[in-house]
Amino acid sequence: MSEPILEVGSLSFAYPKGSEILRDLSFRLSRGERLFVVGPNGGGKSTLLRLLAGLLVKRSGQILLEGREIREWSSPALARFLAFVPQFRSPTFPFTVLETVVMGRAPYLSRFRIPGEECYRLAEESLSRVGILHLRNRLCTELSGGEWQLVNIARALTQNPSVLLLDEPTAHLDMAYKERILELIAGMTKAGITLVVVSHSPDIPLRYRSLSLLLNRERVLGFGESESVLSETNLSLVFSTPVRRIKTLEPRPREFCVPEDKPSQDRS
Amino acid sequence: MVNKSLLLFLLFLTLPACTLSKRKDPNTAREIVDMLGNRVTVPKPLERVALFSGPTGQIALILRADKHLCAVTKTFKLSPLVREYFPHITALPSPRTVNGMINIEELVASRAQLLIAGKVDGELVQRKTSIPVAFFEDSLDEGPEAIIQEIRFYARIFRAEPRAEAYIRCMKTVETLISSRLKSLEESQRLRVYNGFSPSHLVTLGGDTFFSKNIERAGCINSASSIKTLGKREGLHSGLGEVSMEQVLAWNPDIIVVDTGNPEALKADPRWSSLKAVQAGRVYTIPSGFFVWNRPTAEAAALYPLWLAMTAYPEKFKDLSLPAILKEFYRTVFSVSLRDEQIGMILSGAYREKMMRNVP
Amino acid sequence: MNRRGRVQPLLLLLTLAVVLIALSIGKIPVSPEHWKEILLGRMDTSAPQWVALVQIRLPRILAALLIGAGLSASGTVFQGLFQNPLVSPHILGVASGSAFGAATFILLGASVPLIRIGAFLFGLLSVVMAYGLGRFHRRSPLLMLVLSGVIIGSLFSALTSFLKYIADPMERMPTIVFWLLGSLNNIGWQDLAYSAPSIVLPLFLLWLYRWRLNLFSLGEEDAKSLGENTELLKALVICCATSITASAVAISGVIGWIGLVIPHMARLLVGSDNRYALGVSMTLGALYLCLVDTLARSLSGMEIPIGILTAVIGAPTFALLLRRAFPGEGEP
Repeated sequence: MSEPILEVGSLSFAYPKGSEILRDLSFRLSRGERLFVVGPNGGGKSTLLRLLAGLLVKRSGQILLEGREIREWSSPALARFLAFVPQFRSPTFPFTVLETVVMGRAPYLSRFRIPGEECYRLAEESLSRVGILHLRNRLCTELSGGEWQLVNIARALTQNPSVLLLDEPTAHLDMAYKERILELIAGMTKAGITLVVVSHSPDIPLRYRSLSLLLNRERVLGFGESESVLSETNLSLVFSTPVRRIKTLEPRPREFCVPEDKPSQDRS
Repeated sequence: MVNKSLLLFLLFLTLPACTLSKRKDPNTAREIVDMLGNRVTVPKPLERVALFSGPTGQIALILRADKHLCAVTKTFKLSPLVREYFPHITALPSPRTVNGMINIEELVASRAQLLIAGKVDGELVQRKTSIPVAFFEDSLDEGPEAIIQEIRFYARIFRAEPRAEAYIRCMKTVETLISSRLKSLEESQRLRVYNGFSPSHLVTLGGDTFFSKNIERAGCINSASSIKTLGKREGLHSGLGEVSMEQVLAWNPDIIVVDTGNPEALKADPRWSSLKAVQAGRVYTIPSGFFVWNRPTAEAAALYPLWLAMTAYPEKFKDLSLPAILKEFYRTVFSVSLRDEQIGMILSGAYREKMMRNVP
Repeated sequence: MNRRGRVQPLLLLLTLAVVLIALSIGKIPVSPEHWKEILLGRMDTSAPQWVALVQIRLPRILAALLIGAGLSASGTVFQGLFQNPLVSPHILGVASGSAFGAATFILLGASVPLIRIGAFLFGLLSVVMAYGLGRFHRRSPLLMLVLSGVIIGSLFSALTSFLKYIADPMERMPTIVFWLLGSLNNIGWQDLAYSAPSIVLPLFLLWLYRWRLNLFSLGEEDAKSLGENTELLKALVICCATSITASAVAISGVIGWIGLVIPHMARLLVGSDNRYALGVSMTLGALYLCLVDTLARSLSGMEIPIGILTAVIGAPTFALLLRRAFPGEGEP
């Protein structure tokens, strides 16, 4: 097996005044794989992503990126290697879409350099890939939630990352944008980008050939192929409520995870 | 029973009459008219008077009424000459700091029988206490006539008319002296004087103030006479205004009078050095006696014009000695015998500097 | 892009025009013959025209340009740093600290240079105090910094009021009040010589970083994820802006509204990208202050304190800008 692009070993973390959120977490990821981190709210999924992105400092354990400890990476080098799209947050300043996306080239520019034509070309390329080139001169503050999320993804792509970290990329979005983003995600793997996606909905990993990490704070209930890790038993355990996987066959075979009705609940 | 209550009732009726007759008793009170034309009942004997004025209150010292003062303004106590020659004043309570800032309790605790004050303070005290108030007029646009009126007003209160007239005679003597010596002065020969106060030397008193009149009485012209600086400005003593450096350059005065800093320092400043006053060395520090001479006080009304005239036209006063005249003035008017070095300090403005350092 | 690129050169031309007009306005009339003599170097340096132009107007105009540019730039970078368009360069308490420093030295009877030094030092001190106080809360560092600035600023304001209270009402207090109202009246070449470096160098540094400052608008975390050393950049921006503001306040007193309003006007002209907005902000600020200062010294016989003029013009302008920026707030 080739060297894993991302390897986490015995990772532990706690916030300064809180109890442990992650304890002794270990997994590996090869280049081009898709990993979904699934679990309940407050389970440490976003925390894990932030640790991988270098925004939080681990308490103990290892995070190896291409075999090197994360601490040994310089910030710009890290930003050229992986890109992080955080949870949805509205923009504060009325920058244009293009101005925002070109900021993704920051890790490639030396301290006082201003992005030139090449940078703007790359930014426009990202916008096309994501399908919003026509929005390039619009102000961020005037965009819809879905459009803004696409802008953030475009910005991350402009960093030309090998690894892309996405924190709940489809939250707060309507069905159409959800599908668009999920399609994009599928396409990225084809382009060779390794993905780590946090998702509170286990439906999503079941759509792809992917790996899943079922996480509830310091308990890891499973790491491996999504199909097997996201079993009804495991899901019921992790979400503390009975979950059923329901298959539909029309128009395409799809599976959905559905919390089961409790017999005492009155539905009339 | 009925008789007793009737008696009580009649007694009750006569009570106001008793107090009324007490007021009308010439042995315990008299009436005076204050500067605003109000009739004020002044108790007799008058032993405790609160004085809420600035430096103009030195009139009380002239009239030797300082013994009857029971409360003063804070800055009044800071003057070094007041501390030396009227030491008991420093021990008096000072309920007033500036216009309108009065500690009423402290005033009442001083058991003042009468308050001499300006409009703002006086009205405040009238609203809050029963102390009778005699108002003086805060006028910054009038000349020496205002001072004469003021000293006569104080004299009425303290029954010190002779001393007031002595001052007025002094002041008129000085005026006569100046006008006689400068009789032959042509209009075109009059020197232009610029007063530049504050560390920047750019704050002055305009043509509509008493100060302009003082300058004119010295046979000079106020460079800032075209500027009107009267009017209340927040936190500022009214009458002061700032002018631009270029304005001073345009006026190019013959004489510059400053209050802070070393006059020699202007020679080194390229913005000032080209002025004819600086080049001729005619930059002077304003003298300061009991108080600095750029306020509408009694000593300034008499002495500033004299000092300025003798400084501006020394050839016309060659035979006179300003220190000697000053000594005589302070002896006659204030009844204090100043030493030679004290006169020197007055003329050099040193007392102003000392007073500024006496932050309580 | 094209339209944006044309704004700055136009503004620079406009500024030059305003400077030339300002040079020719003043109490001393300067005729064309005088101009010729001066430019040919034939005028006597003690002639009033020379003194007026070279010793009084020129340093004053240059100071106006520097201070206007400096305050606007500080306002622009602070608004970007704190991601808050309502922030001014005085948010960290510089102006209040400087005012206190000046008041203290005025009270002690110091000379003008010493008063300026005192103002500068206390301006720096107040920001250091705000920075120190703000470091206690790690979770939202920028918010804590702003709050600390407000606290320290209020503290020094209160102390300054106290100093005004105990100051001699006839001399010291008027001096303090005049100083607080702001004025470019007493500025000569020496003042410029001392304060120019601590304004120009930080300005240049900020201008070099103009594009990187954009990253802050994404939020501190996102900026970090783009490889930016946010702590360093934050400290740098604060140091530069503080040095500029403290120097400006030291020689001119407290001049408000420029750092708040001009950045908005610049953004209206060229957008939020600091690549353009910072430069335009500086030019616009320089132009504006030069214009207002010329009014302050020529409208009447007396000097109008410049802080009053900038407030009178700035406040309603800001209200209009707010209405444009947030039109129809509250509509669904």
